[in-house]
Amino acid sequence: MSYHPHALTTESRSVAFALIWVGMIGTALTLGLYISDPDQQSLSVLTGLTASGLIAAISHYRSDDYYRSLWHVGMRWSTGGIAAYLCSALLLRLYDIAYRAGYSIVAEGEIERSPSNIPALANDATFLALAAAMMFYVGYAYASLHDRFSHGNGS
Amino acid sequence: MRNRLKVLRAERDWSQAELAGNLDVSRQAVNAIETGKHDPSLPLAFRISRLFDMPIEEIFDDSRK
Repeated sequence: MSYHPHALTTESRSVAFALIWVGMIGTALTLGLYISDPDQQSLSVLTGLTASGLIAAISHYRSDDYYRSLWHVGMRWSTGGIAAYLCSALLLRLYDIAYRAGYSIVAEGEIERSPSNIPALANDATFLALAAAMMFYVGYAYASLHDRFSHGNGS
Repeated sequence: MRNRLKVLRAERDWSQAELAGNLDVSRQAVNAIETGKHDPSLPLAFRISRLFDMPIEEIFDDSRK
């Protein structure tokens, strides 16, 4: 086997698994603080932690086969969360259309009802990005813990 | 998928970390493969095959028993 002076060691590859948990804690803290008070100064530091956690997660530098399989579960959860959000928005819009059409048929008049609005926080880009990141981490944690406890530790 | 990785590793008296180092993966990956939690990709399966100098089908068993 050829010698690579800058090749990653097993320990440095394992760091990727630890970084995910750090990113998850950082994202949970950021999300909690953002919901409680979006104007807090400490949010900027925590948002940086969330962003760097995600950058580390998508980096292939330290990743291996198993890490990527857990990562894919996280991505599915995150994508599922975005899909659920968009489906909710679609249902609200369909409800508006149905209400408007029904009202015009029955009452033949102007609509007095304002369109359904998604609640303010669910319309906030920062909140949605943090929620999608959190879904990724929760999916990763679920896959990791499921593996750990469903088959035991073979070491 | 069942495999003989743990047995082959034990025959050579390697730790999981040593095997992981030889395969350029993390110790967690070796543990996941040994316990059947994770099926390796084709490139990694070939690396395992070359490392133990055995055909892939002698290491991994894809029959659903």
